[in-house]
Amino acid sequence: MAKQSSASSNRIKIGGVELVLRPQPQKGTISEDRLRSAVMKGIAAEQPSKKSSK
Amino acid sequence: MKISRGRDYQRQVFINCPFDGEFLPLLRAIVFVLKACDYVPRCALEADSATEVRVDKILRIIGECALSIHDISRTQLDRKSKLPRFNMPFELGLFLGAAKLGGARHQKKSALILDVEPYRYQTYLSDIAGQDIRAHGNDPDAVIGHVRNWLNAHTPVDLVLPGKAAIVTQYRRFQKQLPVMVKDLQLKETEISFVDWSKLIGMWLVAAVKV
Repeated sequence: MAKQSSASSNRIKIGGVELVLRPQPQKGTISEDRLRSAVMKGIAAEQPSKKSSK
Repeated sequence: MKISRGRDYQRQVFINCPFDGEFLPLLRAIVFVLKACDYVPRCALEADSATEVRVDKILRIIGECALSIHDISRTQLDRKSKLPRFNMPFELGLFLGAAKLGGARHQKKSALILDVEPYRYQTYLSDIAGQDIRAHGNDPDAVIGHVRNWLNAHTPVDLVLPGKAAIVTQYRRFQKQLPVMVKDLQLKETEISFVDWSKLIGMWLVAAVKV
């Protein structure tokens, strides 16, 4: 069940093509939590801000 | 359409290119298209064992990769030393040698060679004539197209990769968001390691273009 959930959460769709991304097995220098947090902030910044619309 | 791939060896891609700020936009584009097609980027800068001799580490990684991408565009002399750097042509030679002499497992190795201009290599590295050589003009979109089409040629016929235009669209979204991500990490872009770039791009794809 855990594997299914993990595979499902790595599913992406680009240009109508669906694939399941497998993780990068090599060890990095930044914790995955920090990287994920940075990614979420980047995505949040893409959303149009209500304050900036006049 | 769903992609499913078998053995790990066939999805490992050795990247042999300059690792500096000037080349970073092209390196990011290479890593992005590999991740977007579910391949694993590998390179000599992986932080594994600090005690491993560099050439042994390169040979080990080449042995683990069916595919490789070599950028040989850095032909100019170093500003300080006034000498050229030979690491990229050297590693290309190691990969081609492994493919020819490494035994049955390595005979289907394939290399994509990138340069900034077409046919320029004929002047400084003419022995590679006959290989798959493409010119990118320092344009990340061109790099994405070349890498995507080359991967497609090595993907089983019943599987489909995302098209260049779709990958470029997502790459541009990623690029727009990148300053926010880098700021949050409190690092300069050149301080982010190769593996961390790869993980960051993989996590971004999962979070930003999930089904």
